[in-house]
Amino acid sequence: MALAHDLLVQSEYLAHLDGRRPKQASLRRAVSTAYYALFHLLVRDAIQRLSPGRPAGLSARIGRAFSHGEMKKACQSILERRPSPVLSGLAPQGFSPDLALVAQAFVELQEARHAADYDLAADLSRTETLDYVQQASDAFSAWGRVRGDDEATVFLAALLFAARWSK
Amino acid sequence: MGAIAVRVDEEALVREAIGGVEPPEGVRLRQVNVDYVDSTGDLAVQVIFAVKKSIPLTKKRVVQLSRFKRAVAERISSLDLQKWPFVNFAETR
Repeated sequence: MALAHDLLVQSEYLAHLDGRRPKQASLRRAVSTAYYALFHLLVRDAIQRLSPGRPAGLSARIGRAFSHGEMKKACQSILERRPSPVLSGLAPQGFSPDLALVAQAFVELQEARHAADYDLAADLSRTETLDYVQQASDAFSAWGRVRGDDEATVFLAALLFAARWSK
Repeated sequence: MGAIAVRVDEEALVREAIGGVEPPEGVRLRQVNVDYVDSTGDLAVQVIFAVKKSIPLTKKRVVQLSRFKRAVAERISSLDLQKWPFVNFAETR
């Protein structure tokens, strides 16, 4: 998980750059990096659980199969308590507050990343940037508390398969 | 007419829900947009809070703002509008 953690550290560094007059480039990269930190944290863990180590290159191909939009919808279905029958069957108790925090952060950071990268009309503030970095950091902590649990494995599988499970 | 009435009702509901969350110092509601369309094309609710720039952004302050944002989002989610709540901060003097 070195890449994910390094990205999180880098997002905080970028958010504090430029003294009292932060450059939009730094803030926008900070937000985008915070999202990708969480994205890579989850995808890396998913690959480790869902993919065999061999042959070489297979894990990377599986990693490329994750779709940002489908991952978002999987997170939303969990948070809005409207999971598919398959997901309900795999996690009959529902999901813990820590896992919900991770899912919520994923959805909100993805939206923030999109605005940071494409919405050039709006100025991004340092307040908002630091809030997103904090949200990513909180999600990392929450993930650390649940990643060994069965619900985490179901969640990771849902990030990849939820769209198919809902058919 | 009906769509406008629903929108007004939704906005009133969101404003009422938000009113139940005590904001941190220097934070006030600026805008509620119940017709927000997110980056994947889904209808959502966007709430923007103005945050005083003069208050130092200490780690404690950032954590406080983050908790406030989460509390506001939870209140809006509990309304079951079938719209994701996005809570944003805009700096103000």
